[in-house]
Formats: sequence, structure tokens, C-alpha cells
Amino acid sequence: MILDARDLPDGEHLAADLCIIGAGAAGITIARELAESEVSVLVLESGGLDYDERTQALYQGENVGLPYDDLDVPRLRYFGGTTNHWAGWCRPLDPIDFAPRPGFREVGWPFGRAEIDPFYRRAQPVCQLGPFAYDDVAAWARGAHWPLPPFEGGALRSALFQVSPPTRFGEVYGPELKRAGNVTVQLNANVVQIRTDEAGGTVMELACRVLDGPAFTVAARHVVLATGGLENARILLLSDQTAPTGLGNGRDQVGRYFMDHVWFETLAYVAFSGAGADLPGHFGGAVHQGVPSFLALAPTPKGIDGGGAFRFVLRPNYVSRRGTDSLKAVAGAFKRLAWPDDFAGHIANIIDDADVVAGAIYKNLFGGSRNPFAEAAPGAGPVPGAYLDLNLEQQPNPDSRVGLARRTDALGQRRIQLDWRLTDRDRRTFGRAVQVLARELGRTGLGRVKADFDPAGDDWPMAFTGSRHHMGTTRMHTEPGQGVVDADCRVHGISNLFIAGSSIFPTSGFANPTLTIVALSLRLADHLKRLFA
Amino acid sequence: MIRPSRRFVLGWAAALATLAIFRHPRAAGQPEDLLACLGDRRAAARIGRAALAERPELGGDVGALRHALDRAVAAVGDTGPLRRRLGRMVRDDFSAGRIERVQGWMLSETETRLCVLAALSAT
Repeated sequence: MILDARDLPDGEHLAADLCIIGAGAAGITIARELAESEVSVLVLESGGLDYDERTQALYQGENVGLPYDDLDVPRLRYFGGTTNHWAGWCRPLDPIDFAPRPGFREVGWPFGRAEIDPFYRRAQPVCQLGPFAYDDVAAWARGAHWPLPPFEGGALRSALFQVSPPTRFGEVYGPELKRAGNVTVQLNANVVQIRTDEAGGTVMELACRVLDGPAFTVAARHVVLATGGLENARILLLSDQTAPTGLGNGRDQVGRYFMDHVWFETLAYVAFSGAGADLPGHFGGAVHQGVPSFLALAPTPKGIDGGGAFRFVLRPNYVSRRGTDSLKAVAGAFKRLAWPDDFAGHIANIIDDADVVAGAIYKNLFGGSRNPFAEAAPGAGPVPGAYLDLNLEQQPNPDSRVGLARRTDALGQRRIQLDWRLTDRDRRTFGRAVQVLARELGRTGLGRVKADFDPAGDDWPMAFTGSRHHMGTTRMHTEPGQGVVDADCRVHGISNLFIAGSSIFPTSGFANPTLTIVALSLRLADHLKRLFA
Repeated sequence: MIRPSRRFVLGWAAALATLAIFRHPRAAGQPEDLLACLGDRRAAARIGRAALAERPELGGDVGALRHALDRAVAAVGDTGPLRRRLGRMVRDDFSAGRIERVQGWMLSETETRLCVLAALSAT
């Protein structure tokens, strides 16, 4: 059932076997897994069923590091969480993301990709995707009739993404939770403090507040914190009743290692060789096996070379075909003694693309291949060039971190403070990405790259931003001094507190995080089922 | 953010495309000429002039440059047509990271030297 905490009497005490804090992709996935079981599940969601400005404002915070989005913009604080506005790009992390990489410091996944593969398979339908077929991109491309660039044996490859509708977890799975007899969702319920016993080893109670409403408490045998990559750390830091520096923070790890995928828009341009390129998988993709999918350019282990991963997405530049296509449309219509559709639009295209059209006219009239009117005519291929957007993986950096600001929110809680930092190593990953791209496109004869900066330089040559993928702030590591949660997602030193979401990622690869969030949540749900069995 | 003008991009795309089209087969018995392998010598010269403007040290004596290129071609373990050997040199350059930046375009060393030769030969 779905209830509203505003209706609770002040001082109410609730109890459940399992309490999940947060109803986003992670929290809802775990609740669904335990629905219709013997376990009583209580889900506490800060927001309601729809966006509310006052609740959303609880996410406001301070950026004191690199320029970043206002912290209440990239995430959403209502039922369904940030899935209410995610784009739906899905892909698992790669095996190399889990393995130690020489030169890539402090990597701490305690298991390999094979451990998560079964959960990735289960996560696919949860995110309304197709088969788990990312690793055999050649087979997918054959089925979709996508030619692949000839990168065999090189440093670059085509990497498959599937695109979720995107699944709005609240809308899609809310009715299921509402029907489940053992699940209760309390909306507008803000956890302000996780309280432990005096030794700090067991969570005893959650202190909760409703904006302008009652205060209440919750007791549960096990608690899952699933409030997102930033807020998970904030709640631990705010929970300082028995641990002055915050829960799970005895080794000063909570909030550190904040990572995002560094995003560069229109970083470079590639001019394809000869007749242009015909790579539909890279030029927006298509629906295949019932799921929209597309390809990005990503490094092989050889291309990663001990540094961070990256991916390029190509945005085809069709400009040189527009004028000729319009010319054909207009000429064809006139031959049929008809007035062409969108005549003005075609004329605009022809004028805009005059030199190319002139070349085409000359070729038809005189049978020549040289354009006497323009400086040069482009190849007549399907796509003459493409702009490139780059996402790159930043190295885990203890100085890139989430902390608490002095200012407080409407609940009297200290706001979040983000200090996003990159290092020289990330700059080198950036340079290597561009160099690998230029090398591989040149080696294979696919084209030449134009980049208006020195890839090997020391400074960041252009503006960048994050990708709104908040990761690493309660990272997984077997050693308490190196991370916040263990391999079972349990907070080191606390017997019944677990964390779900991208805050537990020790590394981030180049894949968007949601599929991995869901897979790891399914894995945690299985672990919880065993604990309750 | 890079937004090259359309004319700029189209012009360079065409010029670069010519580098990959070594399309003048030699007559039997005639020594092969490096520049004759270029599909569009004027376009190549344009790139060469741009390269020289940025890095004058790439220039110098035409004969010496041609000799250096000839020696590099001879070092390729291939007795096939010159254009095929040049193509291999270009691929090898990219594989080994021997890349020159000319007005932002990332070209192989061999391409750049050929273009410089075309520019110097045209003057």
C-alpha cells in the first residue's frame, strides 16, 4: 500500500523487517524483489507521487569545486526518484572496470563482472530492455544490418547501448508495490538521522520528519539506504549522534571518491574518407529486437592502457547532402509538373548549400568531377563527417568529495556540499582518448580527426561538465580503511545497514550507471532474502 | 566548443580525401613520382602551406625532402606500387602515433610531408 506520512500522528513509531530509505531505481527494485514475501517492507520516500518544489529544495547545496550543476537540478526527490527524468541509456560496466588497472589508483571492486552478470540479465527486463547482448556487438550489428568500423585488433571498438523507454520506476512499478500486502510506502517521509546503539554497531531507529508535519521513528531489523549517489553520503554524515564524524565514517571514507563522467560536447570533428561513412549504428542507431539501441566508440583494454575509460558518441553531419537532396526533390517535382512540398525549405537548403549544389550541377551538365564554383566538393558518401561528444571516466580521487555545508535546509539539516575535483591523470585520459581516436580512424582509413587543441597539453582545453552520474561516495571495498561498504553492500562495522545505488561504485567505466544500480540492487535483494530466510 | 564553418569543413574534408586516393598509375618503365600519387595536388599543397605556416621547420630544400620521403618509401618492406606503399606508411604512422596537427587536423607524418612537398613544389 502507498500511504502519506503527513497523516501520521506526531511521535508515531513504525516497525518493519526491512526499511528502505528512498524510492528510486534502487529502492523500488529491492522492494519489488521482497514484495509478496513473508518480510514486512517499509519504504520511506521523501517526496510525494509528483514533483513538489519545497521537497525538491531539500536537495539544494553548495558547489565548492569544479563548476557543476546546481545540486537540486540533476536529481529528483519524489516517488521514482531520478528515473523520473533519466534518458534511459543502458549498458553494463565492462570486465576491465572491475579489474585492478596499473596506474589507476585505489581501485576496489571486490569481485569481477562475472559476479554481476546474472543480475545484469535480471536487470534488463526491469529497465524494459532487450536481451543481455552487449558483449557480442558483432552479432547485434549483423542482426541490425549495421556495418561496423574495421577496428579489429586495435585500441578502439564499437560499444552497444540499449535505450530504456525510459522506465519511470514510480509510474511503472508503483501499482505493484501498492498491491503487495507486505509492502508499505510512506510518502513525504524524510529520514533525518540514522540512530545506532551506543557501540555504533547496529541501527536501532530512524528519526523521520515530515515538512511542516509530524516527527516519527522507524525500527527495522535491516535498513537499506538508497537515496542516490550524493544523498547516501549526506545522510551518513548527518547521522552523528553516536559517531561524531557520521555513520560508517570512522576511517574518514564517507563522501570521498565522488566521481562523475566528465562530459565534453562537440569536442572534435571527424571527416570521413572518400565517399563518407555508412555507419547507421553509430549515427543514432535503430530499434532492433524491439529495443532502441546504438553504438558508441569506446577503447579496448589496449586503448585504456592503465588509465580511465571513455566513449565517443558520433553526431553525423549531413549538411553537405541537404542541398543536393533538396535540389533533387525540387527537380523531381517540376518534372512531374507538381509543386514540391516545403518548397521554401528546399530553397533555403539549396542556398545554404550553394557550393555543393553547384558542384552537383556541374557534374551533371558537363560530366566532370571537379567543382569549379566552390573551393572543393565533398565526397558523395552517405555521411561526410560527424561531430564527437566525449564522456570519460575519472580516476577515484579521495579529494573529490561530498561534505556538509553550514547552511541548513527546511528540516534544519545541514545542506550538502560538493567539491568535485579532477586530476592530471584525468587530463591524460582526455588526451589519450583523442589520440586513440585519431590513430584508429587514421589506421583504418575511416577518416581524419580535427581537434582545436593539443591533446597532450597540460590544461583542460575547453569547458566540460558532469553527466549527472553521482558515484563513489560510499564506495565498496573489502578494507574498511579504503571504502564504506563491503562486498555485500553492508556498511563496514554496522551489522544491519546496507547501501544501494551508484554511491557504492569504486570505479565508473564509461557506461551510464542505472543498469548497474539495478543489477547491484537485485544482488543486494538476494542477500537480504537469505538473511531473512 | 568546436564549430568549424561549413566551408572550412567541406574544403578540408575534400582535401583530405584526396590524400587517400592515389589514383595515377604510372606508365610502364616510368619512375613513380611521389606527387603523381596524389589525387589532387592543389588540395595537398593547400594543406602543406598550412603545415608550413604553423611549423616552418617542416620546409627546407625540396630535393632533400623528396629524398627523405623516397628513402622512407624504400624502407617499406613491400615492392608493390608506390601508392600502396605510401598507404602502408600512412597506416603505420597512425598505428605508431606519428601524428602531426595541421590547423587542428590530426594527420600522419607521411601525409604531412607529402603535402609539404606538394606546397614547396608548387611554388
